[in-house]
Amino acid sequence: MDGDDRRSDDGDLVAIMARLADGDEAAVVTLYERYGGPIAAAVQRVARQRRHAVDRDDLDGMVFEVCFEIASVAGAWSPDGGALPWVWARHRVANVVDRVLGQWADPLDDQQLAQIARRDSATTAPTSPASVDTALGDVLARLVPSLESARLLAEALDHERISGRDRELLLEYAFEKHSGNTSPAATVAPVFGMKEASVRQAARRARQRVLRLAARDERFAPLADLPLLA
Amino acid sequence: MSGHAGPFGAPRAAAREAARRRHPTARAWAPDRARLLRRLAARAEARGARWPRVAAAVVLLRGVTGDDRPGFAHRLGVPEDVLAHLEAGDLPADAVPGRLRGVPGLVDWAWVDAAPPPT
Repeated sequence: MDGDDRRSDDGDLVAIMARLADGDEAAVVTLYERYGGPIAAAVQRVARQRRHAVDRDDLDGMVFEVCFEIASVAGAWSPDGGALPWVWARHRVANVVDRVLGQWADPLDDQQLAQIARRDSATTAPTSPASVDTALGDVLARLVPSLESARLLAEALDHERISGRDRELLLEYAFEKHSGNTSPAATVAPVFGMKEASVRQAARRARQRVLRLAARDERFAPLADLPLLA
Repeated sequence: MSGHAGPFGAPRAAAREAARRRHPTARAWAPDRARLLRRLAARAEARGARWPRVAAAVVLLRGVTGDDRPGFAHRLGVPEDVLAHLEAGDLPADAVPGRLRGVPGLVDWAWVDAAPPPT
């Protein structure tokens, strides 16, 4: 593949997904051949989140398995949603990685467990930690009823008609940045099949549109202070 | 600007292309077709194909071209149902059209031909 930015409405990808939805096994090979790069990046990203190095052998196997996973849900994918198939099916990607690497978990720490138990007993507020492999757009949607800023951000993204892809990209970029990743664009770019500069530009544009809305509409003003958009 | 010579005499466009190829993102991924072939054969065998290696080879080659089945059958000059039987692993290696065997570098035909006979 060349370095051109990929979009979910890329005609070649849409045609491949349609053939996968029809059960054409050769289309799995086509997906692997033409989009193996960004799929490999998505796999490696999940593996990094599991703090696990993936060798070339494992990576090849996982990319192929992800292609079959995407094939199994291809009928439900639509380019109108704006997300690339391997971003849209990120749970499936994560499942493949977990199957190969084994279930991932931090080692239990008795002191930490005791602290968590004390904290839980001290508050009645329900906690809902988001799994690291949960689609960030889904997380935002789930937070909407309970978190005013998330509701406001989701509304602002709708109001500004930020595309599904740019919405995911903005959230992924912000997630990486706030996780301490010093090169968030380098991590996010291959997942979306984009150049790093394009990722930075798309994230900046989406962020600026939301911030301009916050500046001109008092209802959205609290978003100007949202760390995610800092 | 294209056509101007670079420092080693190459046109700038070619130099840029060479630089892109050296960039880590360009080296990050290359399909492993030998492994893919074996994986496809294992799937075909699990489905009960009599000649799973043949099925894998034909599916792989059609996948690499990106053709749908009618288009690929037309390209090969074989009836679509013959292609369907090849992809299903219903036919032996000697039924594979010569034009497919002539495609260089994608399929290890020696491996396909060395398949044990179906039981």
